[in-house]
Parts: sequence; C-alpha cells; structure tokens
Amino acid sequence: MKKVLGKWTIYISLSLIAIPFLVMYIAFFMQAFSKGITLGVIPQKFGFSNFSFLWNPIPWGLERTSIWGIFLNTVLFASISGFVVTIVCTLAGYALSRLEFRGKVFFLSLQLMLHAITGQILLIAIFFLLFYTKLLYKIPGVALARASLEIPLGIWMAKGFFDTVPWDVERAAIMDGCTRFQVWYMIFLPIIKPGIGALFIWGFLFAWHDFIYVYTLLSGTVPLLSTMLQGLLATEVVDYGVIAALSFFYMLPPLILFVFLQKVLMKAPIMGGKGIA
Amino acid sequence: MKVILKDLSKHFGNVKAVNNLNLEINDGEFIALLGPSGCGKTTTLLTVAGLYKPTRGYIYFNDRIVNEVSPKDRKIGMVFQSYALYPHMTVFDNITFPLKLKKTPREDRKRKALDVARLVHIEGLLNRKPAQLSGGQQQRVALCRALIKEPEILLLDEPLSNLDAKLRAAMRSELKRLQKDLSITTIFVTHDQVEAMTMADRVAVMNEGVLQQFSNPDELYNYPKSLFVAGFIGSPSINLIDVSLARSNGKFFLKGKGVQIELPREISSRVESNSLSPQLVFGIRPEHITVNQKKEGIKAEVYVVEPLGRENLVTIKTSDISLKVLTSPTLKIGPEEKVWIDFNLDKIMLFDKETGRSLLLR
Ligand SMILES: Nc1ncnc2c1ncn2[C@@H]1O[C@H](COP(=O)(O)OP(=O)(O)OP(=O)(O)O)[C@@H](O)[C@H]1O
Ligand SMILES: [Mg+2]
Repeated sequence: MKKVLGKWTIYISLSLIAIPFLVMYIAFFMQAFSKGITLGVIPQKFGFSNFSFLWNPIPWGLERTSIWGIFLNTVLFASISGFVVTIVCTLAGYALSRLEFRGKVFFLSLQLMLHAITGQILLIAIFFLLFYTKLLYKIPGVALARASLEIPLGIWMAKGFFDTVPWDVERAAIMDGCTRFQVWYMIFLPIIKPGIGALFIWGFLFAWHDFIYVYTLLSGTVPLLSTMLQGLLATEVVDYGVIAALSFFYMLPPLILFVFLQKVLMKAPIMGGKGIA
Repeated sequence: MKVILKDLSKHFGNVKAVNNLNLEINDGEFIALLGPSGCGKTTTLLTVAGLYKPTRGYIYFNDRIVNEVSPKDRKIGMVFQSYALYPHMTVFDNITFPLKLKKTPREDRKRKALDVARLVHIEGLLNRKPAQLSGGQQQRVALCRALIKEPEILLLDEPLSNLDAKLRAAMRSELKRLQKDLSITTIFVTHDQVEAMTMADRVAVMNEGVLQQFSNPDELYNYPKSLFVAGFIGSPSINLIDVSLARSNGKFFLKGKGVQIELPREISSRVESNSLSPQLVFGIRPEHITVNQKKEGIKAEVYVVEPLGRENLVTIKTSDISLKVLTSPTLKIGPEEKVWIDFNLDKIMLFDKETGRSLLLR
C-alpha cells in the first residue's frame, strides 16, 4: 500500500513539473499549425497557412526576402563552424593525448578556464579583431569566431576519444611501418569516427542556434534564421503564427541531422584487444 | 639474426624499469624473458623493438648497433600483450596492413595473407572483424600480422596469457613448432614459468629490472644462481629454511630450528670458501625429500596431503618448520601421522642469506 502511494507521488510530482513544458510545446505546435488562435492555446482551424513563407517571399519592410537564401546562409555558417571545430579539435586532441611536451598540463587547464568564460565577454574584442582582419560582416569570419568558443571544450572531448585507443594499437601501427601522420589518419580517425561526428554536430549546433554573435557581427548585412526570427518579433504587427512556424522550420535541420547521425554517434569507440565482444 | 643487449637500461624518471641488462641471443634461438609482473619485461621488448629509446646501453643486431634505426626498419615482427588488432579493419586488412604500407600489389598481398593464415589455421576468418573473434583467434591474427613481414626477429609479449588452460597448452606446442620451422630469433615474454621452461631454449629470469640468470631450463631448475631464481622457478616451489653454518670435529653442520644436517665433504669445502656470513638459506626441492615410516632420518608429522594425480603433495611439520614433499600415491599416509624424512644431499642448495647468491656454484 505504502509502496503504491510512493509511486503515485512520484508520478504526480513529475507530471506537475512537466506541465509548464508540455503547455509550452502544445501552444507552440498549435500556433504553428492553425489559422488562428484564441486564448493563446485553442486553435480555430488547422492548416499550413503560417508556412507560406516557404513558397512566398516574406514581406520585410518594403523589401521581400526569400527564406531559402537565409536558410542557406545559416547552413553555411553552422557548417563552417562545425568543420573548424572538428579539424582543430581532432588535431589538438591527438597531440594532447599522445605527445609529451612542456606546458601540456598548463595548456589543458587553460582550455577549461577559457571554457568557463562566457562568449559574450569577448564580443567587443572579436568585433575589432574581425574588423581589422576585414572579416567582419562575412560568414566565414564570424563562423570562425563562433567556432573558437567551442574549441576549448571540444579539445577536451577529442582528447578523451583519442585516450580510448590503446597505446599498443598505435605501437603496432608504428611497427607495421606507419608514419605519425599515417597513424593519425589510418588508425585513429577510423576508430574514433563516432567521436568526430559528435564534434561536428557540437560545432554545428552551437553555431546554428547562436544569436548574439550573429546579431552583433553579421546582422543587417547577412541575415540568418536566428536574426530573422528576432526581426519578425521587432516589427509593429507581431504575427505569432508565422513566428511559431518559422521556429518549427528552424529546429528541423538539427533534428534531422541527429536522426541521421544517431547510428554513428551511438557506436562508442571500440578497443583493439581482447575483452571486446 | 643475432641479438645482443649490452648494458641496456631504460628509466622512467626514478623508475629503473630495465637496469644494466646484458643478453646475447643466438641466431634462430628461442629465449624466454621470465619474471614477476612489473619487472621490466615489456619495457625490454619495446626497447628492442625501437619503440622506446634506451636510457643507456646498446642494442646490436648481428654486428650492427641499431639504437638509431627506426622500428619499421628493424625487421621485427611483434605480438603485443593485448594483441592490438586494428578494430576497424577486417582480419585480412589487419594481416596485410604492413604490406599495404609498403605498397605491395594486391595480388601479392592476397597470396601472402593466405600463406600465413594457413600456417596458423585462420584462413576461414579473413573477412571478420576482430570483435567477432575469440581470444585465441585474435592471438593468431596478431601472430599472422607479425609473420607476414617475414621478420628476422620475433617479439612476443605474453601472447598466451589471455587464453584458457587447454588452448594455452595447445598453442604452446604449436608456437614452439612454428618457431623451429621458421627458425626466427624469438624473444618470448611471460610471467608463467611453465611456459618459459617448456618452450624456450634458454630462459632469462628478471626481477625489478635486473637480470637474475640466463641459462637453459635444466640449469635454471637445478642450479639456480640466486635465492630469487630458486624460489621463482619450480611448482610446487622449493623449500627454503634459514640455517647457520656450524663446525665441530672437522665436520660441517647446518643448524636450523629443530634440524641439523651434516654436510658432505665436497659441499662443505665449497661453502667455506664462498660464504661471507654464517647466516645461510638451505633449499631443497619437494621431490628431493623422501618420506619413510621406517624411522630413518628426521622425525616429523604429516600436516596435509594434496593428491595431484600422478603424485601427492604432502606438507610435513617438524618442530616449527613446514616442508613440502612430493610422494608416490602408493605411500599411504594421512594427517597427524608420524613419519621420518630424509634429504637427498646431492640435490641441496645453499644461499648466502644476505646477498642471495648461491654458495655451491663457482
Ligand atoms: N611509460 C611508462 N612510464 C612510466 N613508468 C613505466 C612506463 N612503462 C612501464 N613503467 C614502469 O616500469 C616497470 C616495468 O614495467 P613493464 O611494463 O616493463 O613490466 P612487465 O614486466 O611487462 O609487467 P607485466 O607482467 O605486468 O606486463 C613498472 O614498474 C612500470 O610501472
Ligand atoms: Mg608486460
């Protein structure tokens, strides 16, 4: 009896905690997929009229912008960030995991400290940095800056992946005639493929969802999805239906990316010796 | 290929993993590096392979110093303690990886892979991934990958330690046969003395980075140079008793707790000239003690009897000393029975307690 009661209290309290989130998500989907709405949640008529931005340009002041150009910009921005994070971290992670050099421990702790600093603090400095290097208001430049924020923790992640590869496997490869680069390229990379996938998604997602960097360093000249959403909110007549629909569209690509790469990501790196079944 | 290690040392900070090692291994010889865990066996092997740089000393292959030769140019095949197969490659790709790096044509690779695979009977597994193999099969794949390079030296790091007892015994004879057929100079690392004694032409016993003895199995068993080797080799292990050397009427006696043994003349003279301190350790193997019920020798009492099948291992107590003795199963004795024991004085060993050195060898 007591046990059953205990169970129910858990269910009830968990449900209570979940309610606000549920309501938010329900409201969000209602908004996106209905023609009108009363009392904030009750839809009047289901339909896809909010999604008309997919085939018609969106009125933007006096101009009309197509969503697809902005979408491609965002993809480009997030992909560059993903690639930069992946490449820098796999190189640095290998070195930190496998090579002995002076200042290694200091470098590693420095990365953790850098990660603890919020990116916004660096905004002004980065603004000037990009300005003087003539990269301001350009997607590659800002993507580079955005990627650098994720690199400290990414290096730690990558080091962890490399650490899982046993020393003996690397030694065997050297005995077999690999150069250092070949060991990295032919042995490590294939073994830690899932980890590399994770690094890319990591770099991609943070850039995809970023607002503050995009808003400060790109906006006006090159709109991305996040700044465009903000732009819609800042107009005089706010159409919540369209905003919800656009948000839905905004969150789809990461979701799809996850589903596709899930299989790779779930396959944790495996070892090269006995005891692996 | 002849391998000579000259004053070889490898230190990691303060740890002297290998300390002043001198070994001379003949062409085609099969030697075992034997010692307890952490004594520097793997380190020695990795240094010979060129994966570690020696802190001091030289490695010769034939007459050439190879300290500066890179690992891949040393013509060495190596099997690692953990096999170290490449998990993302099939067995075929694993085996032929060294050839692929040398840009051997695919046809040649295929032929050679089949040749070595047949040697250890894994030709049916070439398309599998390492994770789909048993420990014994992984071990064979690792061996194939070492052999396909047609090495002049084979380094094996405890290749059998992960197999079950039966498979291990089978692989033992198979490996020995293979080594003799190919006559590749081989260094075989193990902490299992039975493995070392049964497989190797000569055994190098190491402890804490220092070579204790390098000789053939027979000599190692019967004429250990030190207390450590005597205690380490042999199963069941040797009986060791603290004694002191006493002299009366021109005769020498070993006196311990409750035992007194008169030494034969030729032994006593050698002991006298070699011994530095009167504190000695007396050693005798279990098979060199005889048990009788005819009241001959030292009186003792049976403590336990452990049947081993072919013989019985009997623990016997006399005063405060307990001794292990191997007896024939036909001798019917049980716990708490009174028996008399006799030492085969031709087979006794004597060591200096302080230095651990044998006093009977010159
Ligand atoms: N890379 C290293 N850095 C520091 N110390 C090391 C390193 N490799 C080995 N050692 C130390 O050197 C000693 C010898 O190690 P080694 O691996 O050669 O032992 P082993 O005889 O192969 O033991 P096992 O039978 O357990 O494999 C040990 O004390 C070990 O801790
Ligand atoms: Mg070892």
